[in-house]
This record gives sequence, C-alpha cells and structure tokens, in this order.
Amino acid sequence: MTTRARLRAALVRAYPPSFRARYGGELAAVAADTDRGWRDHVDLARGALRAWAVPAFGGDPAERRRARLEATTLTVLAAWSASLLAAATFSKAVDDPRLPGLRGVAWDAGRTANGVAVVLGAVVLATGLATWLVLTVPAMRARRRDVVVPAAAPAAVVVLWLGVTALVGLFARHVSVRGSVALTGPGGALVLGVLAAWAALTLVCAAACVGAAGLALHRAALSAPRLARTTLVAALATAGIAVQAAAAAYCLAGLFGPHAGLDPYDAVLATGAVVVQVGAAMTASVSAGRGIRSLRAELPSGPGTVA
Amino acid sequence: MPRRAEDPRWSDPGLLVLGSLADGPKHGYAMVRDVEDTTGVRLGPGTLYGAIARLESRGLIEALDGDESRRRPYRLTSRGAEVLGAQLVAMQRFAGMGRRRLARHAPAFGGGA
Repeated sequence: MTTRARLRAALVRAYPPSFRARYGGELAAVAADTDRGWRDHVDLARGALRAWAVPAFGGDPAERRRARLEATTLTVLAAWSASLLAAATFSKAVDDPRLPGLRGVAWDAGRTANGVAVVLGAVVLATGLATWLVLTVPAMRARRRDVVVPAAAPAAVVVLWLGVTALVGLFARHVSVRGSVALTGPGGALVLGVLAAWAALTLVCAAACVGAAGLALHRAALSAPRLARTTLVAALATAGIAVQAAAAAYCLAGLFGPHAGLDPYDAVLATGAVVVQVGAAMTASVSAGRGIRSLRAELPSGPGTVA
Repeated sequence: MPRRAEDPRWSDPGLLVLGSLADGPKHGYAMVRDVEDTTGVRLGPGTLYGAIARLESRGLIEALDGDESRRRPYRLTSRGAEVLGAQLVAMQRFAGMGRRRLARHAPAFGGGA
C-alpha cells in the first residue's frame, strides 16, 4: 500500500462511525478512483470535520433516528466528561486554598456549580450503570468480545488511574512542607513534572473511558426506545452542564477584582476551565437539541392533523 | 473569462448531485464524472458523500440495492425531483432577469438568448 493510499484510508477512518458504516466503503472506492492527491486529502479531512460537526444520517428512517439518538448520547457523555474535569480544575484554582475574594455571590455561584456537578454526576453515573448492564449482560451471554472488551475497559482504566493517583498523593505528601507542596526551589521542577504528567494521564484516561464506552454503545447497537431514555437523560445533563458553566463563569467574573487574591497561575487555570465548560455546554446543547427534535418527530400526530 | 476562486458560485454540491441523478440512478464515481463533464465542477469524495448523506437524510435521494456495497447506486425520490424542479425554475428566472439587466446596462456581457 502506498503512502498516499494509507493517508486516504486514515482520513476515511476519521469519519464518525455511523457515517463510515453507511458510506465508508463507497467513499474509499471513490477516493481511490478519483485520486487527485493532496486536494482529495484536504477534501476528505474537511468532509470528516463537517460530518462530526453537522452529522447527517442515511439509511431507512428508523435507523436514521437510532443513529441520531446514539450520536446525542455519546456527544453529551463526552461533553459531560470534559465539563467534569473542567469543574474539578476550576474548584482547585479558586477553592484550594480558598481565595479571599470567594465570598458573597461569587461563593454562592461556586457552591451552585459544585452542587450541580455532584447531582449531575450521580444522575449520569446511575444512567450509565443501567445502560452498561443492558449492554453488557446480553453481550456476555452471546460471547460478543467486540462489545464486552470496550465495555469493561473503563473500569480497568479507572483502577489504573486511581492507583497512579494514590502514588502521586504519596509523593506529594513526601515532598510537602507543612501541608503545602513547593513548586519552586530545588526539586520544584520534579514536583511540577510529576503533577503535569498526572494531569496529562487524567486527560488520556478520561478520553479512553469515553472512547471505549462509545465503541461499546455503537457496537451493541441499542434499540431506539432504549436510546430514547439515554437521550432524555442527556438533555437533563445538558441543562446541568449549562447551569454549571454559567455559575462558574459568574464566580470567575467576581474574582477578577483587585482584592480577590487570584494569582496569574490560578487565573489561567480557572479561565481555561470556564472556557472548556462553556464549550462543553454549547456542544451538548446543539447535540441534545437535535436528539430531542428527533424524538419529537417520532411522536404520533394528534387526531385531525394531516401528515 | 476564467473564473476566480473568490467569484460567487452557483455550484452547491447537493444541487449538482440532484441534477446528476435527474436522468437516472448513478453511483458515486459516475456522479463525479457526470458533474465534471456537464458543469466543469470536480466534486471531491468528501464533498460528494457529505452531500449524499445530507440529501439522503432529508429524503431527497435514496440508495438502490447494488451488487457491490462499494458501488451503490442512488436515485432521486419524488420529493427530490420536486425540490430540484423548484430550484431550477428559480435559477432560470434569476438567469433570465440577470441577462435582461446585463443586456440593458452592459450589452457586451449580456450574451445571446
């Protein structure tokens, strides 16, 4: 296989799974037949980006609706994960140790964001567990390793992450002086390096968990009624992500005063976290809106209406 | 006069695909060739299948059972034919109006009937 053909195949694999399932073979064949080199590569990359951003589903109407609900569930799951990590980062930046400016309305907004994050986490995890059982038990009975392996992978990743986090905690305790870890002076670079590596590992683990869960959900091809339930929870989660993002943004705005105590390092962390939360809220809202429209289109027309 | 990249374009990929299917079912590569032969526009594979996916999801075209999944033919639905017809009428009206105005104010660019 030539380099050009390998690049073409990689670009076709960059399309969303539902798009590839429907058009992947044809797309690869036409790309091989036309073969205009870099122009086709750019065109395929642009097409893949657009297919993720504005998904369109082919096939019969029932399968189109099912694919739409699956895409909404996965997109909101990814947005929730990003929002959860961002919320933890925001909390670390403004509340550990607590900034002097974190009081009054800013404190209420911060507490609201944390409270929503906890409730939302409980709802998403409960739904995730129920969906996981519905998905995994029949797959185990049918000996479908293609579903069971990605479904089990998040548990292994979480155990690995918890183990590494415990080791990093022990290391931090070992190098801390009077309860705080010094990031400057001799050894500061090592401490900073360990913390940065742990943060990077956390991101990779979160991405791996969402990716594996998405793969399992896609391969299990859950029924439309089951996906309708996960879509409704996704819509609820979207509202929670949006409230959380708004509360964090309001809290941050209150911390930019002269005596708030927000140092440049925390300001960058907190602002980055709010940007991620707002982006997650917008992404989830667009996807949840499409999912809900698909559910509403499924509802039967009332008496006297004309189809 | 050669067309420049920043010139306004009428070549919406979805419309070109509908136009290509107006004389019968075609698979992807046949559509690329037909569109290039008739309009001079070369649709890239990503653009083509993006347009096919959007048109199929809106019920304007549908796939036929082909012998090979890599050469699946598509055809216009009745709704697709209706949408294409309406677009062509609007374009014809626009083209006629544009040529009449050009003929009045810039006869050198107005062209023949």
